[in-house]
Amino acid sequence: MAPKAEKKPAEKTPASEKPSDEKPPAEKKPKAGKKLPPKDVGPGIGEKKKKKVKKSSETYKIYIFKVLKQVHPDIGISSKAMGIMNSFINDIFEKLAQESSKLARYNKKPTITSREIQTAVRLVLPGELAKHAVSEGTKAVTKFTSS
Amino acid sequence: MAAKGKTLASDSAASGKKSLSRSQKAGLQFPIGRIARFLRNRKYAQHIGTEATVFLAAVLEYLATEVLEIAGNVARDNKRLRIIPRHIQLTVRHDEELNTLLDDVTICSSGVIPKNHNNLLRIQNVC
Repeated sequence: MAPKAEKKPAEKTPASEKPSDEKPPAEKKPKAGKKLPPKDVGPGIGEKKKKKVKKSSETYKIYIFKVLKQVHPDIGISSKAMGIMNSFINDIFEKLAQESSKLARYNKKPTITSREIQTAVRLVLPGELAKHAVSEGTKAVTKFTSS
Repeated sequence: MAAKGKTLASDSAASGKKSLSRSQKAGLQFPIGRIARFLRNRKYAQHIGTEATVFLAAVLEYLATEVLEIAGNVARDNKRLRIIPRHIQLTVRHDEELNTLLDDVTICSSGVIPKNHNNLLRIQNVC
């Protein structure tokens, strides 16, 4: 037994001295019920766990891509242009939502209905863009209610 | 969880159809559920109507379609297979209504519209 125990630290020293030093404190940890980390991955586990945690951000990018493939199936879009389109959609959403919120408050109503959104579209979008947008919205609402 | 599972199973068993998303019901690509959540969480009003979210998603999808269609044509005219910020800038600035909508917007890495002021041009007829 003693020669085997002596062999183990001898095998460890050519790799590095630090993990062998960390073994006695690491051996104390499994008393809590945790497994010993393997030698190779020992110092990097904390970093790997931190790297795995990623905050997900919600964007409209996949939907913009679907619309692009409907309109131009063979055209792609760069990541910067996609970012610009995402910012555009967020900006217009914010403008329409703010205007709808104000309209509901002016009329002392606690609800934003499709009527408020329609009025906001007429106020925010200029000219023909507003007319086409209203017709698209009405068509979508009709199809949604009929299904 | 069990109640939810039961209702889903009963719906699919009774109707025999898969559950459709609201975007699929309205025939849209933009997410109606996500837009509804944004409207509710950001405190625009106490209540949000169901048709309001459908209408808003349809309007946003129409605007995205409009910009992407013209930008795709601009990209093709420049013999490119990929839309870049320059193409979006040319799209927006050459269209009167989109330019009015995005009058106070700066597009990153997009350049300017080529224009020479008349006073800077060489005088052709000199008396």
